[in-house]
Amino acid sequence: MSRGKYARKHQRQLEESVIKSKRSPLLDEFFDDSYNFISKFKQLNTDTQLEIVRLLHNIVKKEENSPSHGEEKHYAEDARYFLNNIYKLAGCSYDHSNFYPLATDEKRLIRMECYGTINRRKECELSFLYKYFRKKSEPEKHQQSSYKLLASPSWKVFHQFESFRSIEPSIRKYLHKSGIHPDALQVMTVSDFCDVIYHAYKKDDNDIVANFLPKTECIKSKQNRAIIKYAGKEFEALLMKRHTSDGKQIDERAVKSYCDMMRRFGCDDLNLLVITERNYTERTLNDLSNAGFDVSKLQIGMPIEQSFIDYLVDNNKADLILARDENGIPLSKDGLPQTQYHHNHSVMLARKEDTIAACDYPNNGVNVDVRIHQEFLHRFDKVMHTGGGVEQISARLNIQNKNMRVLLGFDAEKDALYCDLENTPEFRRRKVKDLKCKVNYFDMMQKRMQNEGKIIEKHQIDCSRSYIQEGYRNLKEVKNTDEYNKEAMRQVEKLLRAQYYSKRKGKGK
Amino acid sequence: MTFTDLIKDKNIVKGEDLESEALIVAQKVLCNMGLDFIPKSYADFLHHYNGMKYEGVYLFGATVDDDMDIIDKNEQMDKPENSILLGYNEFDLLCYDFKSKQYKIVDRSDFEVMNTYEVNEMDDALSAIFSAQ
Repeated sequence: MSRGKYARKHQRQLEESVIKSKRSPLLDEFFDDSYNFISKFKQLNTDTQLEIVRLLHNIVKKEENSPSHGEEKHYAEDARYFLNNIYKLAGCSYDHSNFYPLATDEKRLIRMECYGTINRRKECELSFLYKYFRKKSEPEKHQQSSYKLLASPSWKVFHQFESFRSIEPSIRKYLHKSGIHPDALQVMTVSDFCDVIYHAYKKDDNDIVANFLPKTECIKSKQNRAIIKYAGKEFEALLMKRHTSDGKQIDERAVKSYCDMMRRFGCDDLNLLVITERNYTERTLNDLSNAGFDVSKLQIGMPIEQSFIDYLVDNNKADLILARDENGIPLSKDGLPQTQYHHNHSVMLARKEDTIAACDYPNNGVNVDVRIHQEFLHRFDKVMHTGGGVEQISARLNIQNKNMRVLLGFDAEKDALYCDLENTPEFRRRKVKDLKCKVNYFDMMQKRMQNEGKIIEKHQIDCSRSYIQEGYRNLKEVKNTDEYNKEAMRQVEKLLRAQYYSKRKGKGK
Repeated sequence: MTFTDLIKDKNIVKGEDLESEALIVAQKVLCNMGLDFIPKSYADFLHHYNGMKYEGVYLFGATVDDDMDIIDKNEQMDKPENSILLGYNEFDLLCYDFKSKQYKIVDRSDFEVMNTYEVNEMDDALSAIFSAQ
C-alpha cells in the first residue's frame, strides 16, 4: 500500500534512527561559494529562503546539542556565519537580554489590551472578599458616582492602559447595576476586575470570552489603519513590487482593494477581501444596470467613485463590480501578503520601558509576512533560566530599526516599510497620559492587602481559611520583590495571624 | 458556548481531513523525538479540525500544511520541558504537559504558566489560546 502524503513528508523523521542525516544538496551551492551567499540568497523566493534558514538552523542546533569535531564542526561554523548574514539582511540582530519577568497579572493585561478580549475567570481565581461582596450585592442600591475606580489599587494597574481607561464608564455602570458594595473596589484583585469586565461585556452567559473592545479597535486593526493613514502611498508602492506565483506583476486593482480594506476596517484578512474594479467596464455597467442602478450617465473607463465602491462593499453588493482578468475570470488574490502582527521587543522587556503600556505601542508592532514570522523571526527564540533570583535571560531575533512597520520578505531594504507611528499628536497625548497613570504593580498589590484589614473590620467579615491561605500566598509573592514594604506587610501578616488564631480558637470550642 | 461554537462564523483555515495513518505517523515521530503521544482529547479534536489557523492563532494537527504540522512545529519551536506543543498565538503557547497530564497555556517569552486545564477542560484551553485572554 502506498504511503499517504503526511507519511511521505515525515519519511526522514520516521527513519531518522537508522539514517545518518546528511547536508542537504540545497546548501551545497552556498557552502561552496560562501563569498556570494547573500547575493544568491536574495534571488530565491521566500519559500526556498525559509527552507535554507531551516536547514542552516538544524546544522547549528545539531552541533549545539552534540558538539563535534572535524567536518561537521566546520559546517556548523559556516552555517552560523550564513545565518548571521541573513539576520543582517532582514535588519535583525540576535539579542541576549537580561530581564525581570513581569507579574502574571501584568502580562494578562498586556494581552487583553492587545486583543480587546477577556476570558471568563474560574471561581477559584477570584478572591474571597470579592466573592463575599458579590454575594451580598444589592442591585442599583449605590450611586454610580460612589464607584471610584481610582480608589482601587488593582484598577490603577488597569488604568495604565488606554483601552481600559476608555471602558471605565461602562465598568462603573455595571458595578452600579450589579450592586456590589463600593468598598469592595479597595480590596478587589486584578482577576476580580477581569470577572467584572467579563460580565459587563459578555453577550451570553455561556460565553467563554467577551470582547470589551470592538474588533476594529484591537491592536492589529489600529496598526493597519495607521499604516494606511501615515504611509499609505509607500505601502501601496511596496505591494506593487510583488509578483504572483507565476511571476506576473501584481494587479493594481488587487492592491487598491487590499489597502481600502485596511483603511476602512483595519482588516487585512485575504479571506474577507473582495477585489473590485476601479473603472467601469462593460460588464460592471451591465451588472449594475441589471441590479437596478441608473447607469445612464456612466461610461466605460470612467473611474468608479470611492464612495460608491464603499457603498457596494458595505451592502454586500461588491460582486457587481468584481475585478476580472481579460478572460472574465475574477482576479485572484495571489501575490497579496498574509501578515501577522509581531511584537518586536517581547512583552517580558516591558519593565525596562517607562510604562508597561509601551508593550503595545505602535512602534513595537510590525506586520510580518506570516511565513517569515513563524519560520524565521520566532525560530531562534530561547529562554534561559538563571535560577535563584528573578533574573532570566532571553535570546531572540529583534528588528533593529524601530520604525520598521511592515516586513514582507527577507530584504530589509526592499521588502520593508518604515514609518514612525509614534510621531503623532494623538500618540504624544496618549504617552503623556500613560506616564501620568504609571503605577508599580507590587506597590499596588501591597496597598490592596493593607486595605483588606480595614474593610474586614468595617464590614465585620468572618474570614474563611481560604482567605488566610490566599493572604499568605500574596505576601509570599511580594516578599521577593524590590518594592517589598517590610513595615506595612508586617501589619498585614499580624492581621492574618490574628485571623488564623481566631479560627483555631473557634475550632477548639 | 463550546470552542466549536466560538469558531463557527470565523474564516478559519483548516488542515486536510485527518487520515488515521497520519495520526499514527505523528504519534510515532513525536515519541521518537522523546515526547509522548498526542492526548486522546486532542486526537479526537483532530478528527474534526486537523489543525487550524486564524489571524495569528495556530492549532497543530497531523497535516501536510507546514504552518500547522505538529511534528514540524515541535521540532522547530522552543517549548517547556515534558510538553508537546499544540498551538500558539502571538503571546502564548498551548502545550500538553505529559508528566502532569494537563493542558497549559504558557507565556511564549519565559514559559511562565498562565493557565492550567485538566484533560477534560481541553475546550477551555483551546478557547483561551484562540481568544488570547
